[in-house]
Amino acid sequence: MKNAIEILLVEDNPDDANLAIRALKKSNLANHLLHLEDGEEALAYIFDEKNAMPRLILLDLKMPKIDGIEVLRRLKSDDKKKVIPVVMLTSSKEESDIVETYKLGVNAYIVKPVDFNQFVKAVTELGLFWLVLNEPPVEQ
Amino acid sequence: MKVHFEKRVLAGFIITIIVLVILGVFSFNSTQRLIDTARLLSHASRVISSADQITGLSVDIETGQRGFTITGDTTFLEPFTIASKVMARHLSALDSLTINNSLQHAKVNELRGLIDKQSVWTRYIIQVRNEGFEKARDLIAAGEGKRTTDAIRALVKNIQTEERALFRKGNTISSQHLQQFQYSFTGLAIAITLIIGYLFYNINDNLKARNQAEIKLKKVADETRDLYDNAPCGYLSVDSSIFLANINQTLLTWLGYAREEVIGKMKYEDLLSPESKATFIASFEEDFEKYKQQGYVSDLEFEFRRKDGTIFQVIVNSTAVFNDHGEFVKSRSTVSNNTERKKAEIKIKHLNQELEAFTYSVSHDLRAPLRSVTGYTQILKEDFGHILDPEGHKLIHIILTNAKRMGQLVDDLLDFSRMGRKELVRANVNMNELVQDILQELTAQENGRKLNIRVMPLDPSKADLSMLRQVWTNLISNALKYSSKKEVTEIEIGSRWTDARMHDGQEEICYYISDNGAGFDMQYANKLFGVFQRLHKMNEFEGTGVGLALVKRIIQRHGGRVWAEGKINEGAKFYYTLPQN
Repeated sequence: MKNAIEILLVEDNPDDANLAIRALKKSNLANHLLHLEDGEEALAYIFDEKNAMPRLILLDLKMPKIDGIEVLRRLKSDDKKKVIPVVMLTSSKEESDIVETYKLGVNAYIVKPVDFNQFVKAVTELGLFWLVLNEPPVEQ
Repeated sequence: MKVHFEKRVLAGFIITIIVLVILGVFSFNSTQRLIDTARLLSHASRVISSADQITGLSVDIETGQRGFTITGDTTFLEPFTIASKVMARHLSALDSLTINNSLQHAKVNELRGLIDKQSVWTRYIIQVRNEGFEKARDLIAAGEGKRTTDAIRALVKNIQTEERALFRKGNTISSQHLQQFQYSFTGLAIAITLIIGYLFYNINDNLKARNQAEIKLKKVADETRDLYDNAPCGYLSVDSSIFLANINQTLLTWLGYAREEVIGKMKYEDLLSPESKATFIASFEEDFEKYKQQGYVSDLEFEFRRKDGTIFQVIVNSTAVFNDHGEFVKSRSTVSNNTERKKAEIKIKHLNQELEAFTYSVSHDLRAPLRSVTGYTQILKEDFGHILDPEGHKLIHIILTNAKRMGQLVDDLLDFSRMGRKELVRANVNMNELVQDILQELTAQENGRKLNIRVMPLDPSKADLSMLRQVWTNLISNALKYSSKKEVTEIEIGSRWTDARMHDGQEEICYYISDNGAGFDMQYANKLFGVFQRLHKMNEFEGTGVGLALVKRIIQRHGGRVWAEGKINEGAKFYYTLPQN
């Protein structure tokens, strides 16, 4: 399990992705991180049985081809995959997005702060929470 | 006035009838008396005349007998023969004329006796004369015959005198009477003429007034009809049979129907488009019950179908009319053409959707590059800070500050636009709790400041809790911000009910917050609530200029008003009202 992917970051904007990765690196959480650039890639990876399940998925909302909401819907409607914690990491503060993702069973919804320091703080805290403090169900 | 008139006419007719009856009775009586008198007169004259005849005949008999006695010539006996025959007829006439008067009748019988006596005497004389002149002459000279004749004459005179007395006694009419009758008759006739003249004058007057009133009434009716028929909106009524009882021309023109095709033949639902009709029928019973209970319905939207099948949008308002027993009698409805508004509504909806898409993309797409600007500038600072001189660090600081400020502006603007689209959910809001909660949160960040905050008991209000939280947060943080340069910050928060009469009967609560901060110049008071409008320099007080605009937007969505009073360096007071009914 040592080399398994711990965080799956799904983000189409490379600049934003780099910022997130840099923030996670600061807290030593980026060692087992995989960055995918859209929803299609994310679904292909997750539903490929050869790949181990990540411990946390950071999901952007607005992406080309398949957007974050659709990825979330497919994940949470799958019996095996729905146990993976999914955190929306997005720029959208729209009420409708928040409501819809929670209805689909998202585990957390984080609005990316514009300020970099705050962004680093937010990403670090959520990484620590889900990877260190949170107890996942025992894998069968 | 009218009652008065009717009483007068009635009184006039009654008086006329009474006078006519009096006149009739009076005339009848008078005529009757005239007839009686005439009859009496004729009776008396016939009695007198018959009596005269009898006297004459008696004299004739006497004269004839004497002539024969003297001459012995039988031709002298002729008057006697004739008179004897006629005498019986006259006696019989006199007898029947006096049959009703026993006294006169007795006299007539006495007269008959005397006449018989004369007749017997005369025949006796004639017989004696035939025997010899001297003996007859002696008999006549003895005077018996003359005595009989005188007795007849006296008796006749007596009968005549009595008859005249009877006539005088029976005749009740005198010339004075006749004159009185004439005067009275004339007087009454004049009275009737006057009364009828008066009545005619009155009735004619009244008829004229009625005619004028009718003309006036017709004019008013015409005007009302014109208002009804040609009003710029449709009118219709439905009676208890649910058929259309009335409809105005405007609506008929809109629909393309003739009045006769609609009244009593079509139901309200027949005016609707198939879709609208289905909805209407589906909830009719429930809606109609509510309509009857409430007495009105307002601003119902329907689709009407014209005769040619085309469809237009309407808004219907209706009041129900009940009879004394509370039963539904009819409806009074106005129909306004809603097509233009509906079009505008669709356009607005469209625009709102576009705006939503726009703000969504602003929210997402504008913040991402901003984050890159701050993020990578920060990385630049962290990774290459050691090779930058102070000027370089200053420039990096300027980039970061401005990017951060822009992020704040975008966020505030998004909040502002979101507040306009958010659904308003009214509930009872405990203002005291809300304000205390916010104060605790905000003052926690103000360490080391001397704060004197007084919160009066606040009236609870029906409003959207999350929106009001935003309002109080903005107002209180403003008060804290603009009074931060004072030694002691004085803030007061309170509320009161306003005088409803001043606001169209609207019951409302007015909330206020005052501070002793920087204040503002009243001549710019109208700029306070505009988006991105600021009355202070950025380096004096931070801010984006959206806070008060947001407050205004929220309060306006609640139907309230917001305003402010202030004086430079002496503080500001902000008011807002929330309607409660």
